Amino acid sequence: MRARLAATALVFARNQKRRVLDGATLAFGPGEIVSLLGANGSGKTTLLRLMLGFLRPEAGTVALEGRELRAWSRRDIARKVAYVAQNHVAPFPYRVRDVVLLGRLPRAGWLTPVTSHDFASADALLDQLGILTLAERSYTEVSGGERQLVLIARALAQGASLLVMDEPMAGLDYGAQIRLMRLLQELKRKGLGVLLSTHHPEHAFWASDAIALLEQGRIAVNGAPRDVLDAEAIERLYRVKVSALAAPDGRCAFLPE
Amino acid sequence: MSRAYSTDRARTLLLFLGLVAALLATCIAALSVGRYGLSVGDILGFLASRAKLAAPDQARDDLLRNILVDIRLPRILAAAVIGAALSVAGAAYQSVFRNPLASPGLLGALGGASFGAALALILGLSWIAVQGFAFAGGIGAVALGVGVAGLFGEASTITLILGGMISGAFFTAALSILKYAADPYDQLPAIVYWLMGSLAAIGLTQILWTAPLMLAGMAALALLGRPLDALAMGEDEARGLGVPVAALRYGAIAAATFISALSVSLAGMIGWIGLFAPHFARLMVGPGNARLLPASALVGAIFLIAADTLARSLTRTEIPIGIITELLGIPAFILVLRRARKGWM
Repeated sequence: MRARLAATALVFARNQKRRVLDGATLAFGPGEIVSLLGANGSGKTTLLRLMLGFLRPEAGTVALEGRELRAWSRRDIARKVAYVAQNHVAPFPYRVRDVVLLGRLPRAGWLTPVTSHDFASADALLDQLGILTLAERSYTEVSGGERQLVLIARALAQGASLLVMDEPMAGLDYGAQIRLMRLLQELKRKGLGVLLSTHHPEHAFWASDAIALLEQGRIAVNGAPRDVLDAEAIERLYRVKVSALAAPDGRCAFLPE
Repeated sequence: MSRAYSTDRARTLLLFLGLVAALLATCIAALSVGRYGLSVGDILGFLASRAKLAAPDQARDDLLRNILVDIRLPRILAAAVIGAALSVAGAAYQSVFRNPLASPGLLGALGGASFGAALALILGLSWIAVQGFAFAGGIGAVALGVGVAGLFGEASTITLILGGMISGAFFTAALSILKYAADPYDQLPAIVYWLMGSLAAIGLTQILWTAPLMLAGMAALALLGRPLDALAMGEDEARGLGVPVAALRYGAIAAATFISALSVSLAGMIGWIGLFAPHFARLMVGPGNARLLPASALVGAIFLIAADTLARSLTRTEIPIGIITELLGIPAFILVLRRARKGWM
């Protein structure tokens, strides 16, 4: 149970009316990629925000390393769990390196000046992700795929072992989507844990250790991709008829009928 | 030593040295301009004689002391502090609301202050009371705006802006009622003049009392620079980086409102500077608030000293400074926005 982020039986209703979540249970830890699939409006973002402590559940608990999230300070959570938002846009032209340097906020505190060492580590992270050439560019001018990489670099600068990503593939071209999944797998091998929501069953299939399906406010199924994801599950989730194509290596693709 | 780091440090240091030099030059120029024209040599000679570096000439020193220290210096100090405060407040508001068009008036502070001042003028109160009423009006309007935002449920950037709009509109309407009710020969002109802004009535003791408060407010905001950067990236972004969003947001709003209400209470309505100075500063040092807020303070101080010097020397009678800042601010803002669109490098 080391460094695990676990949600148990979460209930959440917006405006006291419809229950968005009604007993959702989900967990992930270092060294695994968990993909969260669900239709639009099924509550994926809400579940992620609850697990990050941005929202408070009406019932149920979220625990980090076995301790309830509300017993943690916001800053201590940020040292363990990093968040990558969906289609993030900044109103001001921060340089890419400055965005990465924000990642030191939870560790260094508010008043510690940025040092030469901080610059070097930020640049090392950018280099690791293959975007060092963007360091001096404006964050508002780089492409969507590059922006995701910058936010991942920032998350790594936080030193967090867990990464929560809200639809990281949204708005990326096909190549950028594949490269991002490859990067996440590489980071996983280095010990990072990733929880991401996505609308791409195929990506989830080949890149995840576990897939969780969010239906009617609950995690209906949660398990290894080949146990969870079949034509029937896709049909139930998205209300479209598909047929599954099995690849020789055991992966699966879905074709609409 | 990271090379990028050394370049960045050197560049920033140079820019700040340049701004400080420009501020000093503007101050000396402003000291020399006026009905009794003085050369830069006169001013330096006076300073040297005060510092006992040159032989004193008692009669001339007394004259210069009267002109420089008693008459011009308080105004220049006031212009510097007020220009700096309005610019820092504007820059902080722009980060808190993630909006490059935010200015110190966004939450109704200026509307409330105008109402307060007009009320005191109609009641025929003293000048100190006018300033007190203006300050209370500014703070009250923002408090009302934040309160109205609370009625909409979960406080967010949008609900706060809506609350501020409603509060501002209310106080603008109330101000219209006061103007309508005011004596058109006596009170109405006083209100109209107050609304156009002026630094003429600020004395040295007054500015010595209020300047430390404003400097403290500006320093507090500058110390919050880094978390404000996180907030400028978005609410969830800031939370994800461990920043307590609500506390930071209300803390920054309180400090920015405090210094802008104090500014308005001293000098009346001075528009545009809180919007345009932060953009100008952002072009120079980038959007990071730890640098942007001090740079905005310097730019705002320089700009308002220059504007006030024009206001008191362009024509025989003084022009209200609010008119000058608007006339200068609009073209400056257009120029800045044209460049800002292309990014700040």
